[in-house]
Amino acid sequence: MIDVERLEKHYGSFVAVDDVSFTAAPGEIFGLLGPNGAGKSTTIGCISGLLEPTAGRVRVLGKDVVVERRAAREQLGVVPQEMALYEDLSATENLRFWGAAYGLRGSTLTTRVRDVLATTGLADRAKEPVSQYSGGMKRRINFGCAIVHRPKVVLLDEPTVGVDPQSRVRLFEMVKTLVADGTTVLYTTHYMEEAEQLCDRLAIIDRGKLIANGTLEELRGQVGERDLLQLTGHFDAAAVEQALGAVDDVEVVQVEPDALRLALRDASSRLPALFDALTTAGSEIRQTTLTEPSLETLFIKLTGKELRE
Amino acid sequence: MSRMALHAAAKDLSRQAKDPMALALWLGIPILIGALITLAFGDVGEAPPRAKLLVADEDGSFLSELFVGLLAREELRVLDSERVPLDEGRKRLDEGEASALLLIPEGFGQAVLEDTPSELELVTNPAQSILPQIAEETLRVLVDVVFYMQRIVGDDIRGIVDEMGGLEATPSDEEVTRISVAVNGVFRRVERYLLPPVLEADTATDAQAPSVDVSVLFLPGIVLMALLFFATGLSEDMWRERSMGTLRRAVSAPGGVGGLFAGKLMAGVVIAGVLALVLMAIGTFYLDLPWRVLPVAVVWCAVTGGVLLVLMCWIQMATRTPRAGQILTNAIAFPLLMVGGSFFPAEMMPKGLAAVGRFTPNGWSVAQLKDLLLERTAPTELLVPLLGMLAVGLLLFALASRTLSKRFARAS
Ligand SMILES: Nc1ncnc2c1ncn2[C@@H]1O[C@H](COP(=O)(O)OP(=O)(O)O)[C@@H](O)[C@H]1O
Ligand SMILES: [Mg+2]
Repeated sequence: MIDVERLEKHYGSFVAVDDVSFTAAPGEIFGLLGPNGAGKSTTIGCISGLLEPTAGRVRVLGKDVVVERRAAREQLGVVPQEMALYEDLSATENLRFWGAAYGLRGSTLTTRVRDVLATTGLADRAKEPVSQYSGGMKRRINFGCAIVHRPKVVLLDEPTVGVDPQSRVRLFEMVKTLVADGTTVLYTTHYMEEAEQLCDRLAIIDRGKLIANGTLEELRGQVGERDLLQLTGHFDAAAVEQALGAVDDVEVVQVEPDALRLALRDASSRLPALFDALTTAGSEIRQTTLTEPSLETLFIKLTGKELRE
Repeated sequence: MSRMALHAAAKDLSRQAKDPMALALWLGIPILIGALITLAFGDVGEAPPRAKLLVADEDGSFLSELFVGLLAREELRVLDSERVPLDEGRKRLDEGEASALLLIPEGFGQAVLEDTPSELELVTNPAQSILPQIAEETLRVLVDVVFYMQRIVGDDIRGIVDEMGGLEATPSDEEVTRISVAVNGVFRRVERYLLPPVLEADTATDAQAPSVDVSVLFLPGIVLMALLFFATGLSEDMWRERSMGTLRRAVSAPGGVGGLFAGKLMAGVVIAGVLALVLMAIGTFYLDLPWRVLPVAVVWCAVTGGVLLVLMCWIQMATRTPRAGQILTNAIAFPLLMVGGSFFPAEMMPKGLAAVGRFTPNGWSVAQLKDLLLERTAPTELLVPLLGMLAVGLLLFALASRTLSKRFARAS
């Protein structure tokens, strides 16, 4: 269970995390979706104790991470965005060290290390120094080091960036195994397909602010059943608004001199009529992109920009 | 934290074991220099006749002073040197009062620094045969020592001397940086000179029967040299841990990053102990020192190594980049080595410099160690200084851990 309450983190006058609140429950994957620089890692840092919150409160299993540091940390496993491994040591040695750092000893430690090597699929290369691993293997062992001690809460910060498909599948399986065991998982990503595929509940973060929060269904409901139509070319805002006002059930999401974004039902069958209306209004259309309803469209609708910029 | 520290120590020891080159380097340079020194003050027989050497120092530079100082050492029993003005020297040699006259030409110090040929002129007394030869041999070896030292560290000394020439009362940051860069070059060059086996072959034939006295004076300084190399070298691991991300991971572990740091220092004490054991054992064997002081000496060195390590780690953490950390620690280590008696024992240094040297951490440790080896103090008398050193070490640890956990470990 993670409880984030009105969290703020400032760097000087820059506000990296601004009044963020959410709750992640046991046995669920809570996704934090946002573009680069949105404040995902900063949020994770405040939960893991790496960063001191400027304001607000974070509790892990009811323990305040600032006041009851140690108690909060013992139940926490952190998979940092950047690799955090001893490159000169083997997978086994890394796992043993981090397991020991979380208080495991003796046969328990040995068993857990063996288990993690099996789930990460690294058992047959466990003795090699990590420096010889591929990027995907490093990601897996980086994950493994955070879960040797079977934490009740796991924070994953963009664990699939730059990962081969095979490792990605393996990482997803590992995450799903964790939640099946009742672990609370906070999963940050800037890939919306990942968030859609993996997360039970989601918050969308942009420029430090939460702009949406709910289950996948709730968020999809916010977009409605409408497609997103993106046009580039030449547009006159006033003329476009006027022309489309006459067309049923079309929402102008955004209009700029060279770009137009519309939300509408059954876009594909209504394209010819739309184009007619637009060209009559003096617009010039160079390119069109049609996107079905998704988190991506929600994000664009909420922020006026694409997720991967 | 204590259990975390033990695991972290074990982790760092096994990491160190995978990098034997570092160990070899920390040991190799001091051993090489020790061998050169043994050569220089090597086997001169039981009760050698003393050659009277007159020295006319026309140069009067720091280096020539150092050289004359070396010649004047009582331990150099073969030579009885005396400083004279040039014309007086010539006159006395003509009158048959001395075996030889050594003329250090003006510009000698500069020439050594610039690696340009500079002739030391030795005028011998034709009436004598053996004594002038002894003087000549001794000189030749001493010149070799100066030559090799200059080979190894010359560029850097030169750089520093250049810089100092232009220094005002307080050097600017830029000047400090330039000096630091110069100093930093030392270590890379030293590495280079370790490699050719030529030198080893050379020394092997001559180093059979070293003398007792003078080399004993060098031994503690040489051990401390290894410890300073080790401390500066291992302190760079703070940056490695930071760039590997392991420090950040440790921050969110229950044992905290303090436990990890304590473990690193514990591992450091063990490594320092091993380095000291090897060097002291070699020294004890060759120099015929009492074996019974060895354990205390090793403990002393191990603790010294730990204190130097925590100091260097703290300095690393005060810098902004790994490169700056490397430069700064080396820039501090090098002068410490110089004045702390690692290149020349305090007994051979100009008085003022030696006095300063005693107040450096390594110089102080060298002095205690020397007293122990020469049995001027009983091992038990070292207990109080040892506890004092531990106290300083703990204080430094507390300060450095603060820097580490508040700032250094949290940065990305
Ligand atoms: N130490 C810092 N000092 C100043 N600004 C920072 C620091 N760390 C992060 N930021 C800024 O805070 C914002 C959020 O960063 P981050 O949480 O890493 O984003 P994300 O993980 O979502 O990509 C970014 O604009 C970043 O530049
Ligand atoms: Mg991030």
